[in-house]
Amino acid sequence: MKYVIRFQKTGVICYTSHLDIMKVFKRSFKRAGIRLAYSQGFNPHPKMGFAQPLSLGYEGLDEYIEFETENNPSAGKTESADEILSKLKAMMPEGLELMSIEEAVHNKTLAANTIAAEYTVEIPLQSDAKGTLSDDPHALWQGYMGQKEIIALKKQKKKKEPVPVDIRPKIREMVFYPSDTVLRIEMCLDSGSESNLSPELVIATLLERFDLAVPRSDIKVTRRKIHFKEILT
Amino acid sequence: MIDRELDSILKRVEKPARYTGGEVNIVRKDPDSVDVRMGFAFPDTYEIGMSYMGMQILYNILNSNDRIYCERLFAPADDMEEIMRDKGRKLFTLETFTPADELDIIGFTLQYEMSYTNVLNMLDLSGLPVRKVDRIKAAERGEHIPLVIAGGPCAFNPEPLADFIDVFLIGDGEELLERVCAAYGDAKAETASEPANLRSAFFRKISGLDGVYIPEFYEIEYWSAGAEQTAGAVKSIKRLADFVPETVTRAVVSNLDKTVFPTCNIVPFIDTVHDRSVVETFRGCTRGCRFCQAGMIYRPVRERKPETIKRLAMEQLANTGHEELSLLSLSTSDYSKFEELATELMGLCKRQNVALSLPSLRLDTFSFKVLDEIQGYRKSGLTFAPEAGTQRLRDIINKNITEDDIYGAVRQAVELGWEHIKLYFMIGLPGETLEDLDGIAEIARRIMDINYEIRGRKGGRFRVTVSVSNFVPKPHTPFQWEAQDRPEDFIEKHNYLSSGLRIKGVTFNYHETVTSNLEAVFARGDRRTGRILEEAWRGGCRFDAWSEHFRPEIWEKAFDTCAAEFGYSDGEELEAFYNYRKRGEDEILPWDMIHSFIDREYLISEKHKAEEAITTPDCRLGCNLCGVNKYTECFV
Repeated sequence: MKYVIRFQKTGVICYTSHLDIMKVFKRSFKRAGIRLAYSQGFNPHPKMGFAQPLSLGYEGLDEYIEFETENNPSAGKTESADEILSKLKAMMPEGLELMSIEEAVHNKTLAANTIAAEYTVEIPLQSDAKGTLSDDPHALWQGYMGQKEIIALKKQKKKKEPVPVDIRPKIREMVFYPSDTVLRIEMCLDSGSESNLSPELVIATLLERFDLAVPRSDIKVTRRKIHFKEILT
Repeated sequence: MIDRELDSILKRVEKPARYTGGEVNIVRKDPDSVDVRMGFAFPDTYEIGMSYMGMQILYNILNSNDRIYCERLFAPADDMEEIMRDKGRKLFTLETFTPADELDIIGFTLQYEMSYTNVLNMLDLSGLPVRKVDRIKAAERGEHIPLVIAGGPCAFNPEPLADFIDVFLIGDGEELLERVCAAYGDAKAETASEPANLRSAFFRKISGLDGVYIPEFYEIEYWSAGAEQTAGAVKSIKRLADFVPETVTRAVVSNLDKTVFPTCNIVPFIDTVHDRSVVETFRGCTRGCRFCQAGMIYRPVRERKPETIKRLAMEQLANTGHEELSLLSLSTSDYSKFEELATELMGLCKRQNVALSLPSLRLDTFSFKVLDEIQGYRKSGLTFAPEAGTQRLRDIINKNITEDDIYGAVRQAVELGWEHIKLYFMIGLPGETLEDLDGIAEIARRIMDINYEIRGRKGGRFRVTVSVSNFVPKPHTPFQWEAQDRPEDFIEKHNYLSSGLRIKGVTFNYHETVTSNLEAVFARGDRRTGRILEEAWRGGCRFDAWSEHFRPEIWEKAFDTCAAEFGYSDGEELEAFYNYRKRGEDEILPWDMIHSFIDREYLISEKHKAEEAITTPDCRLGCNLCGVNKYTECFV
């Protein structure tokens, strides 16, 4: 059987990487006694995967993992989806909260189905860092999205030097919520194998555009939602 | 629990999960509900410390006691240290982010000498004076100062750290550490109205326990120049209080099968050196290799029953979800029911998609059957540790392996499809000659020839790796009196081997020379060597076991700076005193207040037999009278 679990990743566990979270799930299945189906071949791997990797340090409020349980009629009765969820819930470390489970109906993987993701970026504003930043959301939008091109320096896989790319077409939506202490920005960006934009490039160009001297380590990023091409279940 | 500042720090460091805790199976307690808060400190990074089974064992035991909360402390990597110092952030526990200086006890495990600068650095990062006398003064001023204790194999020569550590625990920690922590709780309660008396009240409670060494109650005198003995050698070890023993006997758990072993181990989020379930099958070793400290200080052999091992393995796998199981001991195949155990574990692991890993197997027919089955098509390298290149030198060190053993096993291995043979040797052993180095190359060449013989003239992808380490004489071994090679000797031998091992298909690795010489200073150093250590640490040394962090020039300077204090003209002379002279059999050794249970006479007789290249058989074949059974039962 194939299932999809929706979960959240919050708190200190955000400092555990995507690959390591994969391992946490793998071991949680084992500890919960849920037997996963394994791939064939020389190096069998349990069949499971995330919709999209989540960068180190990001929180995720709408994350998805899909997996396939072992199809073994001799093993006796198989668990219901709800049983799987409750067993697994008891095994998860703090910060990984499982929300719901569904049987998967599509053959396509979640990763192949992902088209966009929504993020919240919170940039703290100290009085000296704030500079001449406008309080008007529209002016902020105009100042950033009004540019014909938004050129970001993107690290290439092969080349050493980062390459300038126009990220403007990959930004689907952006809303600014300025306050005295924090500039909150809600954004929807392309995500997935067809077209992908990392919030890091948006953050870098935003800071540059508005001349904000805020260290990256003070900025909080949350992935609020993942959009899929087809409805999942 | 994580504040804004820490959150921002974590975004700036490499592998932030080293510092966040929160892993599966960590123990959460209300710190206010316990009498004693202990920080178990591993003086290296998280990835190394979390691979150490001893920490899991003791963490589990201490935390099963309602009166104690044991949390973990690791050495932060350099990027984290820099930010912590910049922000004035103290070393904190991973369970509750409590600053280490707020704990009752900080307990270091001493696994290798090259971690000693990290011990000092972790105390300093905790906001504590590194020297014990300064901590005592701070406590007298009314500051809260944790007690600093240390254990582990290196504590068998505690002296280099004696000025920094309050109490050393010698031997098996399973029973002792919990008793010591509980005694601290009692002493704390009894002296609640006069906290200034806590330290002495605590010492009186623990001074009678086996394995407790409190250095401040022992005064060391040294021979001065012109005396009948070597200047600088220990003249006397004087006991300063009648409630401490003349010699400290090590703590022993006599029945390992009944000794608690953890099954709810902490599972790290990030990759560690070993990230797997582990069960200790037995403690101790019967082979009696003369260079090996572990073979001496963990005697006698005590085994767990096969049923116990299987139960512990299955429970641990169920509680951790690990995908690999390994067995822990000094020599896997020496377990008395090894075939039975290995066969059953193979079956159990296979059913659960768990890989079984059996380290340090003696390569006989059964082992090959097992290895072939568990490694399948993915054969890792096969490892042999002849340690020396000729039979004569192997007899000297009492390493019971013959060339016929090796060649026979290699022949089988090649036939079964193995393509990589790893060989481990030591150089600088007592009695070594050029012939022994030639022997190393000869063994590598013969192994290549066996492969050509079987696989044909081209030999396939077959390769041999020869790894050579530098002999470091260790306390409590028959070689504790021996001189170590000088750095230039090691380098010359490395060069000699390099040319001798220029053989197609053979890779030659060797160990950093300066590190081995330093390791030897602190392995056999006296109390005064703490000065050199502190000087090197203040100069910026830490993570000395990591080649990328090792700073030989600072160490050199530290030796030079200290030389005059010790009565030498330069650092080289100072190092020579500790490393490059043979000690007399009647010399008082700095660790003579620690009794390992092995008779001194036995070590001396083993030393004499080594000089004559006479071997001593495995003590499973008959007692060799090492002295251990005067104190505890063998083969329980």
